[in-house]
Amino acid sequence: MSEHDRRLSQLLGMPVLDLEGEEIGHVNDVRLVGKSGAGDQSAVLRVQGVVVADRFVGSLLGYDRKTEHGPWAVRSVVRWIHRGAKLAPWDAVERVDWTKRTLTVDATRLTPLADTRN
Amino acid sequence: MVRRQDLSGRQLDAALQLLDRQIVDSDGRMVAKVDDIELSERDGELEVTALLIGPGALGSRLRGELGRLVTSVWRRLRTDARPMPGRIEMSEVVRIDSAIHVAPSISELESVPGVNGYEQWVRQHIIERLPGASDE
Repeated sequence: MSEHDRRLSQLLGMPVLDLEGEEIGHVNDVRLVGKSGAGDQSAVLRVQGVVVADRFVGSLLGYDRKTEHGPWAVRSVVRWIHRGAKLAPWDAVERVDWTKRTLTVDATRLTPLADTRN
Repeated sequence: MVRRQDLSGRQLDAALQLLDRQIVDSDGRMVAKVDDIELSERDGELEVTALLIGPGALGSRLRGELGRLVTSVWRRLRTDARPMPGRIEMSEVVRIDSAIHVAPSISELESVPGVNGYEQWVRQHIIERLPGASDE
């Protein structure tokens, strides 16, 4: 590991601030996307964005996904609890302060989570 | 041998779909659980570069007193001056489903520091010293 290497656990639970410094939630999960590797190298997983939840009540358990099946009662409850959850694309992240543990985003670019999953 | 999966375009939520998942070797044998994930900054982006395993990775994830205890016990048990958690390169990952499949076998992974360390220690210091341990 080098000094530029980070851990997922450093991001999880990190307070999320808007550009004015107001806390708008915390990092609930980190969304990755597979990108083709250079030449014949295998695909790499890059951070596409962070899931920002406005309260700390655990995982979304995958119920944000349009295609996810499961007991409708559980799905409805989990979606209701996380109704304020949003996705911040990584290019909307202005700054990550790994020492103070804060992540600053352009809050105008947050999108509701239910619309972002393919 | 599991065929390499094309991950291009696939979305994964790291905490939900990678963390705490079972890592399985090329023969389907269980290696470890994913205790944390290494992210590296490249050209302003963050990329997954390794799966981190063992108490050295788990301790910092647990936070608080429990996390500090796990990390300090793990450091005490390691003989190297600057111990690092077990690390499996992301390029070794061939498939991600309900488990995470890696290309090397578990015996190849045992040469990686921090991977399967306590199991190796128990085998070398306890199991192999038992009478009859060398019998086939």
